[in-house]
Amino acid sequence: MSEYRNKEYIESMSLIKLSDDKKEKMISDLTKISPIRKEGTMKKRMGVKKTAIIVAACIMVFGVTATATGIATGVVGHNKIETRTRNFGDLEKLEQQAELDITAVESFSNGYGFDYMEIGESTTQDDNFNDLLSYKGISMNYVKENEPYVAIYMDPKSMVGGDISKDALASRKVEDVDVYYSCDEYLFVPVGEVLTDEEKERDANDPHFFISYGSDERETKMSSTVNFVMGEVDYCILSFDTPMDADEMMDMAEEIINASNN
Amino acid sequence: MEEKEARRLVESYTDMIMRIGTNYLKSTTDAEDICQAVLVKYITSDPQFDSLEHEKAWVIRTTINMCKNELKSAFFRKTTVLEEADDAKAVTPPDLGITEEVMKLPMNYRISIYLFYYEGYSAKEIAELLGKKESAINMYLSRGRKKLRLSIMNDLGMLKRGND
Repeated sequence: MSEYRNKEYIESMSLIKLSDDKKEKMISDLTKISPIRKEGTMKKRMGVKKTAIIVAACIMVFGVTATATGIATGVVGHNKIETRTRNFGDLEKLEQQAELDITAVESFSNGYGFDYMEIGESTTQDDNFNDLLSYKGISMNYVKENEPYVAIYMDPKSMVGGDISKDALASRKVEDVDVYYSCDEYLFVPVGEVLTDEEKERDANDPHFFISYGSDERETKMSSTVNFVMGEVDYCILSFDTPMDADEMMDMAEEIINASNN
Repeated sequence: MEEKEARRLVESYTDMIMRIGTNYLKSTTDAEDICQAVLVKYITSDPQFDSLEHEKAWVIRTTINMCKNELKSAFFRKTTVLEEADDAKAVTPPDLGITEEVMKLPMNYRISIYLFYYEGYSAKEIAELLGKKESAINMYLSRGRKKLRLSIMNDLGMLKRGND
């Protein structure tokens, strides 16, 4: 660019800035946020599995991925809505698209029935939000009248990684498959929200408590999950605010595992 | 976070994040959201830096990656409110002259031009920030300049037309 145009470009670019009022508001908000402590915390690295669940939580609650909130930094994911199908018979087609060989049932004995399924795409990221690897999975939604829905996420075992037994609250062995149950509390808060001392302490030390910034309102969701690995696939059965206990959720896992033997 | 440090961060980086965000998203409203998200990320992840230059590079890389994620997630967002859709069309401030011409360039060209001419990074440094080869950055800069020249000459009526 010529020197004249260069000067003109710099001058015009300088007009793009945050107003002084908004800067002051941002300073005020930032002073209310506590950094995550590095020393002595069990939760510094949640790993891909936990962050994937938080991403799923944010998608369910807000309809968007949570990468901008400062918590879900391990995985970016979105469902390919154009692949969604309510025909259980399309499963083989989705398996081919995702290059996964999965086991699924059309209905469970507890009354949950198949609603729809779709391909999900996820990308793992490092702490600086640089993309690392991308992979496809399959997500299936099940419904039961007057009950929260249940989602089942199936992803390549090699991509999800992590120790699924870590922090599990209950477990069961079905055939040669280990099934783990966990229940976590997610607190979604707006940016600048003031946390209580108890919340800060739990955030630092409780492996079943997570805080995510960026929501419009303060909201708590209880996430119940059952994880198991079968073949090359990592299964995650997830439901929010469900009345089902550990045994009932692990029964669903057992039905899937038994179906693989049929 | 102490107010002094929060003020330092805001005064050092928000305008730069706004400009990068606007270059990527073509919306000052969306760029403001990115501003907040980057600084929240800075606080909650507590990264360690060897120097202020290292810190600035982290802010630029994080901003760019968040902008890319925003572009991806906006496409697959499940719910859209009509008011939000109108907001998303918010454009850069008027009377920006050559910046409006730059905004018409492809994304890689305009972000390379911004980092080179406004922030003063070399092509090699820009390549490291964007995760691309230096040759690609040089290409973006030279082609971007050429496209700008043609665009400005066209606006001034300086380009010959076939029937002239």
